[in-house]
Amino acid sequence: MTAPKRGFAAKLGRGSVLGLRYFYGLFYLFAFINKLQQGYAWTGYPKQVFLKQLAQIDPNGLMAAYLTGFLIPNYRLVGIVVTLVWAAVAVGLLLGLCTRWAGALAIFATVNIGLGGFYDASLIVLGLIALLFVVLPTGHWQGLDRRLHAKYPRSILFR
Amino acid sequence: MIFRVARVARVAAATMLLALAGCAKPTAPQVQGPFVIDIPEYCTVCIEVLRCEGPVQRVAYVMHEQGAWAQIATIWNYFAEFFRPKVEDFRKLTIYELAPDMARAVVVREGLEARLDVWNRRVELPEAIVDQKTGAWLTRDGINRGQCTHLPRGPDRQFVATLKETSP
Repeated sequence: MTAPKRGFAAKLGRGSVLGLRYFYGLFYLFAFINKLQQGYAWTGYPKQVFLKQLAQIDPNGLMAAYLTGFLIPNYRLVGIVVTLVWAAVAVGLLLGLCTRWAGALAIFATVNIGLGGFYDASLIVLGLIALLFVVLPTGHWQGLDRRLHAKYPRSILFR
Repeated sequence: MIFRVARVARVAAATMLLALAGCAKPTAPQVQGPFVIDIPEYCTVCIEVLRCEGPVQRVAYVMHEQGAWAQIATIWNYFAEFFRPKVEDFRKLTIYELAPDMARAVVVREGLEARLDVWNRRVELPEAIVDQKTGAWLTRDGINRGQCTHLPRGPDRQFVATLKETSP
């Protein structure tokens, strides 16, 4: 039995989504490298960033409450989690490994960036692109998910 | 075919990265803080208000938040910054010439543009330059014409609202 032939538009669509996935993966990889260079996971740098951001936003808003109530008091933990999440998204999207989960993590990161007061229209676009990787099986189109799903068909990690 | 399209995407990405890598970093080191006037170049939703005062003139410069497309374009800026640091940014600008009490505008000029020289930390305005390190208000030739202050978030929007109400 042979797979049904796809039209040019479908192929172009897949290619575009894959291109976006690699771009997005590189985006997170570069951000992860920046985090390492800044010592984000092991220095007081995140606290400086959060305090500076706090001065930029409405002190009575939800974002200020999130900064003062959660991010600033827990900046060390937040620094570690951010660094790990950035690395996981980069690896997941570039290798097509647990791709849907990497997309979900990217949405989680995007929401938290917005809650931290670093919001603008670019976050909507970033969130929507990440949603594509959750909804579409891009790891089966190209990536390790296809092989791992064949090997472990019951695992929800590689779907 | 899917692999061919994906290959084209990869080649395009590699070309783009090489092109970015070819962009040289400025040779002089970037001016470092602390700054009297600290303008976050990546904050696309911030309004920046500089109030400048000299012996002969008082002016408020209002740099507006960026439009939706410019905000979306910051994705590319963040990406490109890995290869070449951001050296400039542009903001829509309104200039209010202030009355001696500094509380109302006597002349308004809209539709102008300010350039943020991110590398040298200067704000380039149509007829002036503001040194972010010292807050000095200079002519385009570098002659001192006074001092600028950067209004904090909150009071800045109130001040702009007052200027709009009182402007001729």
